[in-house]
Amino acid sequence: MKKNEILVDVKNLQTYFFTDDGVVKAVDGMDLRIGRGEVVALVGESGCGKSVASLSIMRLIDKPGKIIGGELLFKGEDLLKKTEEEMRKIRGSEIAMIFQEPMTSLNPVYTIGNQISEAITLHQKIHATEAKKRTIEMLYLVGIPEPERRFSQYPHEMSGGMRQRVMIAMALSSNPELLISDEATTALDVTIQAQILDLMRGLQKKLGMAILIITHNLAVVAEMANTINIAYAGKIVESASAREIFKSPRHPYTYGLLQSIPKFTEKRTNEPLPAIDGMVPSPYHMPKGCRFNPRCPFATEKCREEEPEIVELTPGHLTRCFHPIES
Amino acid sequence: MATRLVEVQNLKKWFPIKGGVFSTTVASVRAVDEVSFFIDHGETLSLVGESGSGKTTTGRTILKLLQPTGGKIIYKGKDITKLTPNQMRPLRRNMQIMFQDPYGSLNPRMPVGDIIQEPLDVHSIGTRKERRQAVATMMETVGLLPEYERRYPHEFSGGQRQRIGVARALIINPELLVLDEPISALDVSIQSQIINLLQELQQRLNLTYLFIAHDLAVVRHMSDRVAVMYLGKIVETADNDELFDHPLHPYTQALLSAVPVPDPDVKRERIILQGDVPSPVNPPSGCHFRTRCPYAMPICKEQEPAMIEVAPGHTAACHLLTRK
Amino acid sequence: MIGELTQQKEVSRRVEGYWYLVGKHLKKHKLAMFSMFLLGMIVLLCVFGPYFTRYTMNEMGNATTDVLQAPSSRHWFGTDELGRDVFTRVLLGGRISLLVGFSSVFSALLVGIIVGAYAGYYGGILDTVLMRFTDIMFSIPVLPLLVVLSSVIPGAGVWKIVLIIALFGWMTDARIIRGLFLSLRESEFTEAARAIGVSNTGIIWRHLLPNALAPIIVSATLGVGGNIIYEAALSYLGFGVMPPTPSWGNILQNAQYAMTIAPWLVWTPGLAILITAIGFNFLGDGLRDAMDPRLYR
Repeated sequence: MKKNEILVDVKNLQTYFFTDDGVVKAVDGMDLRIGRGEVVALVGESGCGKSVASLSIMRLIDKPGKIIGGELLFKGEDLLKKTEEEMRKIRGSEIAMIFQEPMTSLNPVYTIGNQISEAITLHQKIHATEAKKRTIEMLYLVGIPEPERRFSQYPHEMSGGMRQRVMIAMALSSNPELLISDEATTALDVTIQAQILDLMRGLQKKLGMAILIITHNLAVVAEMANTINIAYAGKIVESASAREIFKSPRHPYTYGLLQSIPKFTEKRTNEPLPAIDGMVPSPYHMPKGCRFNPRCPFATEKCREEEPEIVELTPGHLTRCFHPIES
Repeated sequence: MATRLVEVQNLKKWFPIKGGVFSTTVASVRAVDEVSFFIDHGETLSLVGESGSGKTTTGRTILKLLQPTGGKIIYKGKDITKLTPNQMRPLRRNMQIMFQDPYGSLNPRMPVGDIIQEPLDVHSIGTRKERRQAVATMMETVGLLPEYERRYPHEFSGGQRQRIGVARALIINPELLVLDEPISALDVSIQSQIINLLQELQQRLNLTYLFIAHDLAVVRHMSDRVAVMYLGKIVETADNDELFDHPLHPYTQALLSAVPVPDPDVKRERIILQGDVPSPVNPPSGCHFRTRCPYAMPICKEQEPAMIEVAPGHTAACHLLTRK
Repeated sequence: MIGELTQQKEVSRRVEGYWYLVGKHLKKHKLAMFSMFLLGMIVLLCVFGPYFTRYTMNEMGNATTDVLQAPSSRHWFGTDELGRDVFTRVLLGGRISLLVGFSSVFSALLVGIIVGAYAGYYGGILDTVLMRFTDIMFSIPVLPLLVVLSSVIPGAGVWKIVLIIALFGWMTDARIIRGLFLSLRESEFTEAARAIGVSNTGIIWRHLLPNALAPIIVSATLGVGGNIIYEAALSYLGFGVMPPTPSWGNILQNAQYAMTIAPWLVWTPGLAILITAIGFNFLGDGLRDAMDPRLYR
């Protein structure tokens, strides 16, 4: 990827939480690259650090959390070196974020039209009437029927799917270059999720922004993502194109995960699912060596002693493992 | 029929909405709106649907945790619809439930050993010593170390808490287990562990499952038969393979097409439904699904489609089918 | 597969029960810990102190030399108009005041729990009736009624005061408990208990009540402080504990006239009341933080 095509370049991000019970290394050395207009997925289960990573990129980490290391390059500039004032200009205009629970991200006492207009006028110097016009355009763009009428509706008058569309409208109103979607479809019904994913795909093609999709659902990113990063216990353990991840996963965790998911397209067998043993390690008691080793069927003595570094196995396919699976 | 464990006929569960000065019933949430199905001994029937479909309410109502507003529930040939809580108590030995929320379904102030033992205490089964032994055995069976029985729920992970929940449900040897989205709140890698556990327990203990879920991949893996619900009604019921290979009802078709698949090569013909799920307080007249159905016809507005058997064991309620 | 024990979550060595966690959180609250220590000292002093003082409650010293003496090494809190050692009297008064405080809270709590639990759990008509009754009780002005009742009801015992204070102290607890029970009864573990077949009584006492302990304990702690002040007020007005039994309130009452000439007669019981009440307040605050529902997770 050419230099000026890289939008986001996260290098060795470390975000730790200093709690009374100990230090939680939520993100412990993550690298992430997002190209302009690229759809990148960050996939992992609870405790892997994916949400903390996205909040770190937005510099929304508060006590007891702290970004203690790494570089967050956005369009070549390190976000960690920016002041809060500068970050506020970036948030919502150049980098926008949508969350899992639109009901809690939207203010219940203001109309949705009001809230979107506010987001617009915050970052662009235009009149209220102009903002309203743009708001209605956005509502139309995200597929909300009767946008003029909906402008004056309150969040509680809308369904979950609608509210998520409103969030997307708000996020896209200033034409951001990067949209971060943090489990945005997790709380939605399957048919509504399909609608929203469809919408996001369409908008991405139309507006050309980059998307960082954060989710625990591998299936959801299969169709949307160009690159998929698999996170485990604060680190990225595998990173490759969507195709490579699904067709030839190299890290035992990715492999195990794909194997253990029930296959929707296959007939029922009576075989038990090949499940991954054990549990996600407690953040206060990380295992020695490779963090996945207690659950890994291929772990050796080396895995229990040393932590593997990230290695490029084939061009574009990185893995953090001493014994990657043969492709 | 000797093999039917549970038979449900025209089950109704409406929740009244009170309003006005005198708190009269102004409207009702028609959570379950005349639902009929049966469950055979030893099988797994899955109830699938999205939010507002009524599947959770159905599960609760069958166990009489909610009082039915209408219809009949027949358990092993006996009509239990009108039984009082006191009359239900001895029957509770036979029918149990496993909950979705690993964090809310266990009393935070009780040690897990006591939680698991409680059903034995309530039904006065065995001596104290026997009960303690049963708890230890049960804990091992579900994959927990028995020496942790004095610990409290918050000391365990989500997956472990679900194991505690299932131990509690099964310790009195029920015949029927209603599983209310038992894995939805768990991490993906833990889900398969629990699925395997549930399947093995079913084999070992000869259990009949009513599996309530929204994750269709899991449903496909676990069920013998599947019933699809929409807005308080069952729209289609069929054997596992039959439903997934030949879905007849437009909603089922849309639902199946919406399921994301972890394979970037599979190009899906997505049927994207328009609009949102209508409110169960005021469902559309005639066929409840007509407002989002790509094939809606005038008759759909006037008349509710009857449930017809299109093929052996495969029933669906849609006017498109009666046309044939 | 079955029986194959899966890897356990790192469970700590000690059984991390609820009280252990509460203690852990409470230790961080310096003010609460200090108050607990201070109150402990006060209780010990009041209960055991009088056995060790040189004087008894009513021992009257020499009418001329020992009357109204300022605090000295012989009489740490000075003497009153009858030559009695104030320190001893304050300690003994403390016994009474604390006794009244604790037992009135305990009795009020008992009533409040029963009313609140059954109203909240069963709802419906029972709830309406109980809550309207509670509302009525709330709207009665307490102090005047306490005064009236005290003068009307025969007898002068401490227990009469306890009863009267308890009679008007249970309503807040009832409301709090009722609110808790309203939400707790909807929780899934309650449903689970019903599914097993646990009776309503079993659910209320074995399942829900242990989960409602936190506000009960906080309310009780704060209540002791409040009731000690009530007792003091009553006794001060002459309707509470009757002399010669000392209580902080009636010591104050005796000392009214002496404010300018023998101020120690006023500020010693006054301070005692103040410190004790504030102590219970701080402790109650600390407990409220320590017993936050977040401990459930």
